[in-house]
Amino acid sequence: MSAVAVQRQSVTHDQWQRLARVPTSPLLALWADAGEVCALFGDAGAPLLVATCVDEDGYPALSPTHPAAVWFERLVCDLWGHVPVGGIDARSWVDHGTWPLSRPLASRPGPPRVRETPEFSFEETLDQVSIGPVRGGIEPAVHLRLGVAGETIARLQLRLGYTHKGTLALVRGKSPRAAARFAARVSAAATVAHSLAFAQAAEAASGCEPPQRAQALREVMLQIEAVTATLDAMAAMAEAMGRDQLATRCAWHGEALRRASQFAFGHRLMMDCIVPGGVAGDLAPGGDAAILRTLADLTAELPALRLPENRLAGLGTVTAELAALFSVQPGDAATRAAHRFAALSQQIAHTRDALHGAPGDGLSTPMPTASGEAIGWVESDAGPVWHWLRLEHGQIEGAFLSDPAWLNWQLVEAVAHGSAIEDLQVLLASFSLSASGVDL
Amino acid sequence: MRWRDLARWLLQGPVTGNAPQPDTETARALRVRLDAGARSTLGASLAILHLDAGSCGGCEIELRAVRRAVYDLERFGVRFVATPLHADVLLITGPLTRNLLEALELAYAAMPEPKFVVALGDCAVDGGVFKGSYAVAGGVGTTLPVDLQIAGCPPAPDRILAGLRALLEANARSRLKISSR
Repeated sequence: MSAVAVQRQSVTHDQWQRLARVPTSPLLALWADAGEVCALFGDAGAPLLVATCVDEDGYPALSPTHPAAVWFERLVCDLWGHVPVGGIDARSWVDHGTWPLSRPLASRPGPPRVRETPEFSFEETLDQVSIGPVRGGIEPAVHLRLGVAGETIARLQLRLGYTHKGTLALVRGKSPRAAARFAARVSAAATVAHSLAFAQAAEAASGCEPPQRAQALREVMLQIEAVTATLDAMAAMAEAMGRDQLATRCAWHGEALRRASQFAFGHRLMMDCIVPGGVAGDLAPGGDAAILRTLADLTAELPALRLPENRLAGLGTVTAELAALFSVQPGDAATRAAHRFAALSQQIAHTRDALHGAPGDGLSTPMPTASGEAIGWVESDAGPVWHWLRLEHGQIEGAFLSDPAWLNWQLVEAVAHGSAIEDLQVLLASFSLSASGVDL
Repeated sequence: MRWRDLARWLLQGPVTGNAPQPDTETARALRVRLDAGARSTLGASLAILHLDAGSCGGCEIELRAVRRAVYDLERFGVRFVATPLHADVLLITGPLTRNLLEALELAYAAMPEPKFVVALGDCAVDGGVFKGSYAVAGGVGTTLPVDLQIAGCPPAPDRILAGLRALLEANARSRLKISSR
């Protein structure tokens, strides 16, 4: 986990396009801020933040050379009204024509968009199966459109944006302390990771260092969340495969850890427990023992929690090429399951280490009224969670809160072809998917 | 010969005889017994359709816990269904984003009477922290009549369970009332 103070590099339209043509590092996101469109390339080690100005026509699209740019260009167009010139997909994204205005983040918002029927493009030989946004079960609101040939999925197309809550507009003009509640609710499955990334960005942007004990407690919470998220993901996969016994055992350990979190930190999901400047409260007396006991139980049963991988082999294979494009690990659902299982024992060990190394006192420092720009970066179980913030005199002027679901939904769309329809639920469960995380 | 059998069957008509009238005395006794005891138990079952109306996923985490073994909602006769056509209860999470208004209205309209609406979590109750956003209608109550509110961000599983059991009990009583009328 780290925070990176970033220097935004403003480039001309020519340089912007040249940069896009050289696929040196993966594109993580596009957003807009103060008349410019920003692109973040790279990874935790060396993120590169590039911006180019928007003129009356718009800005040069990156999507012809960078497939990962498509969804972001649509987002930027819907929220800020900046048009990607030469973009390969002009459909709306989060704006379904239901808001009382359009371009909510532009300096002058527009009149409401005309409602249109969502368009999907499939070959005529395929039958279409339409699922969602109300999907039954306990599932996030997304629309999945399958192009099927017999019992096999030939193509999957998604329509997202249903859970768009206007988070980027809500955080604007607020102090980091006041806006932290929104960061914690980007995606509850990674609420600690989001709160931490947000806090780190705010602290780095305003030059503030939280106390040592607060930092140690943050690490404890982050690792506990990683364990519960992994257990949840394993339970979801087991359930989708019809392995109810295994799902129950994974969920039981997750539940035990949530109860321990309630006891130790006062909240089952540790939501709002991390605040910019530090943490909201101290570890309850005996909280560390409760967590360690729960982890000991989990460790004892760990070998029995391994998912059978036979049905997962060959399902939703991320090719090496695709993996390089999105900077993720290649492999199929079996690889992802094995990866999760391996990660679990590491996460348990990290939680123990973090608990033992929580020294000193001091839970929080006040946030100075400063100006600056920074990125907070946290690795969560589903991928990187990072927040970019620009502060002016202690108030948020610009923000982008990114969830790994951006990556994972794109991967699902890209790898669904060839799977049997009956395996769809297993396929979806093999990725960690949050609708709210991308819809913002 | 086969054709001769065939012709005989065709001419002679069905062999199934006329049904006798039900024994009125037995039926009356059974009805009394059902009304008195079984209905309050058998009638106490609910089919829930979960609808994500913009949730961050927190309420879903706790709802999944309620469904699974530790809280085991199904032992009380409550189960989750996949279509509004089979649902008694519409259980809504999230602040009701405008992008999901239409889906919510369609789902509610498709449910058979009597329909219950449960607002689960602070967001569904009144919009929660997202109140006032351009993209949010601000709580289920702005659009549908709400029968039960379960507050919390997110509400803990035992709280969800207590709320749903109360609904179950009320439902059993109201059915008893209908049947004795």
